[in-house]
Amino acid sequence: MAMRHLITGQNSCAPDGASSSNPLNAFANAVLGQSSKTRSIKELPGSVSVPSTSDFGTAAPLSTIPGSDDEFKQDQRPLARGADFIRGGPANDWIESFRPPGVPEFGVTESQVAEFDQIYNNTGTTIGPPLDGPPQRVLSGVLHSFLASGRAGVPFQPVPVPALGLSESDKQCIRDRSCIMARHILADQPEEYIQAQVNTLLHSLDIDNRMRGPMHGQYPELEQYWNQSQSSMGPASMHNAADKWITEFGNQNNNPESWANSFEQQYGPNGWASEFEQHQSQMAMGQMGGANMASLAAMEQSRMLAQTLASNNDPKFQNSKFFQFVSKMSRGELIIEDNQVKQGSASQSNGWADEFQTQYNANANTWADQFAHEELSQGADKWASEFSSQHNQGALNESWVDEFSKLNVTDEWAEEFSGGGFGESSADPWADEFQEQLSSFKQSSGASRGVYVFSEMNPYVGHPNPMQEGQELFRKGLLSEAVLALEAEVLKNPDNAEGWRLLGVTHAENDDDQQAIAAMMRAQEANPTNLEVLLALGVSHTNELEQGEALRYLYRWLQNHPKYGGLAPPQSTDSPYGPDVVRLFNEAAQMSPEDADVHIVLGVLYNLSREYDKAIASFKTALQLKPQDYSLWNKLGATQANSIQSADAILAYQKALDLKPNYVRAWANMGISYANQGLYEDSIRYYVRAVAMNPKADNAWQYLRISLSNASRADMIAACDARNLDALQKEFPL
Amino acid sequence: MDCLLLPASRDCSTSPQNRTSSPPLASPSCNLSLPVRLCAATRSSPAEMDGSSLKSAQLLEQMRLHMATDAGKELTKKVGLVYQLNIAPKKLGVDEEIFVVDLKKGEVSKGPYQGKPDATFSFTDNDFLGIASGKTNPQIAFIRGAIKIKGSIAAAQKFTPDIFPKPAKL
Repeated sequence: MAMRHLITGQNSCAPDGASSSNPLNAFANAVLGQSSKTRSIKELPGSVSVPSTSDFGTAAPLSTIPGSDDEFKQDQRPLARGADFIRGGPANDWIESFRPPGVPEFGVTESQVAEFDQIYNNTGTTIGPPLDGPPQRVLSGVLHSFLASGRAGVPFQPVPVPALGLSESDKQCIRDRSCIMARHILADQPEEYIQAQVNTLLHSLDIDNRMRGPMHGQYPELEQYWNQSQSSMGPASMHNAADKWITEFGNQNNNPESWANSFEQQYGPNGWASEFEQHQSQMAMGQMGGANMASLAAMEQSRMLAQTLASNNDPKFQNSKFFQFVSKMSRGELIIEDNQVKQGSASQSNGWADEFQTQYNANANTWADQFAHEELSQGADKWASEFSSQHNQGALNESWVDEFSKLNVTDEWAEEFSGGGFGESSADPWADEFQEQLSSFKQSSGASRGVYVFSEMNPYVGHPNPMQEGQELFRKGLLSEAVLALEAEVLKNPDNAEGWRLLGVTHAENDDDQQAIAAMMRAQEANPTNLEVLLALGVSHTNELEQGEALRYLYRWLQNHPKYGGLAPPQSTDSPYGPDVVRLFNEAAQMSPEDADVHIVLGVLYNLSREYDKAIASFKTALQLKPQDYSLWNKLGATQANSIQSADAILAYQKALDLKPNYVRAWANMGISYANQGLYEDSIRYYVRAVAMNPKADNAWQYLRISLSNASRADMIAACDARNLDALQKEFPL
Repeated sequence: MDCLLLPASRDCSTSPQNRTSSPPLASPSCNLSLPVRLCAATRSSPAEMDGSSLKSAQLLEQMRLHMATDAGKELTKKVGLVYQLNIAPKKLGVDEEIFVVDLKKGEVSKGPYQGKPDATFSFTDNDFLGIASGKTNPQIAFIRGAIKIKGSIAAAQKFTPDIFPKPAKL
């Protein structure tokens, strides 16, 4: 299909020569490169065709006129022209492709040859005899003169041509191919010159369209992705990276099944990431052209150090400040100047790259994780499957081209083969499956890690006061925005315990306990005795059904409390016994029955021991003391829901939502309550509301999917899988 | 994805008939042990799943309560099968704890099934939770070797995330 167009030269393919900005062109070059070399040697103009050209169906006649035999070789198979063309495109093949079908290959008369030679020789000069004769011959002459002028480096002078009666498709062919040819032949000339040349040619042939710029439109998505992902780099480096990557890719096994394997074999699990890092640092260096050599050397040093350090898999170490510092240095984000650390110029423009790096550093051990995460969060699924299917077709096309020149086959067959079910049936399911695998890997390994995952493309990086902004956004209930601002804050000040804490709270309210735990753990690192952090960790671990962890943090809450700390036995214990902890908290509640926090912790503890009635009583007591605490209403509701009092739960959630309308957790819990009662239709609306407010709420997405299938709404499952919020919100308004 | 290999569970109409004949000795022995369990369950601390450090145990406890609700009863009508779950804390097959999700009688209990369950699953704590929450595709997990299944394939195909209640979050 599209790949075929590239090869056959149809439609709008106008890649600009070998150093193309178009990754697909480069890809095609890489894929087809090897066969093209051998072929073009064989078919260099001027060399006498050897009988091995039998792949053209019949042995070519050995013409006595060197240089012209190829041109007079008749081509009856339209697609072979394309094949010839892509093979490295000897200019003559190009002209050849415009020759009329039907002129016999054998028995070229002397006069015809002479006539052609005359035309050929004359076209080098600008004044020639007016051209006439059959349109194809005229066209051939014009094209020759165009080439000749190109070789001579003089402006192409239009020659008067009679009306050729070219069809639209012919015109298009000529336009597209001349664009490509001109770029190949005149690769050393400025772009304006090439355009002028081509435009003159087209004009003289009465073809109206201007020369087109580098290709657009065929793969808008892919191109967009590239532009997006590379936007922080200069255009030159972008081409570079793109071409290199594609070439590499093209050199690999063409079997998509083994792509992942061979990739990993070739680069090792960390290969891609470290290569990426290398690219990044090279680019960073490029951007800092003005910086002095010393800092470049320092950067290089620290880059190497960072790489060595990155191979250490200990997550603690990966998160350490020292490591972050070194890797920032290595990317030119920080520069040492006069023994002071400064923010480098690269940090602004490399926002995306930084994010990526941070992630990479955070979990250097699994390439697959990274990949899955990238895909999941960027929604680049389409890209991946598109790419793999393209790739598969590319492979098919390669073999198609080879096959074609050997076996004299028909157009239809090629059409069928490259466009037909094969590509779809083998490539797409594979991509889907693979992705699913990756995502399940991610989940299984991500669950236990507790490493904070930063968002990509954070607009708040570089904000003068992200902390204040984050607090403001949190107060307004814009939770997902607040997450970004607070992430910017903790990137700037990794020691800001309050920043981490609020980030954790925001994640919890946004229904993402894993991130909440990760953020709270960082907060606890910065400030080990903060009671709110300890309570939040206890709650989040409870939600993740991690009893032991939850109990430990809640016990630590008591130990660190200025008033009740004395109740806890001084010797610290790593695995406190649940009933003991409950007893201690009950003592604390007797000491100060007006302290809502003690009742809250008790409520959580009773949830852990699944004594839901007592938990509900504790939360209700706390609510009498703190009736405006929306998270407390949600806790009450969740407890009621888990003890199968779903109707009561919905009332409590409603109360929470009255107090905080953007409370994603409560929306999701509403959905859960309805779903657990078998009211799937209702649950869908609440889940959709939750994911609309936080598109990263994976749990809610999964539950939404289950509800959709239970409510016999299989028609919307695709929209759910594609995370198409617009479609879902339209279908299920609340 | 979650609809495993068969499109829906409506075609279970044939299975109840099959079921009635299969474990002739199982039901009495199960009934015998039931009063003891109920005793434990009615104490102030629900003891049914206690003593287990598995996360799955908490979900199964919720499931046990859930079976008493209308939605839970609906489930017994819809599925009508008995599943035995062998759940390992970390490594598949190591230190397994055994639970029975009896969707015929609407019970969830600890310990092996007295008789022949329709399907027996072996997985780790995390993988089971992943499947129950819809995070993990059971088929993929099976292909990956993360689940081992014994028993009827048709019964296994009805083991989908929608039979489990979802825990609400504090």
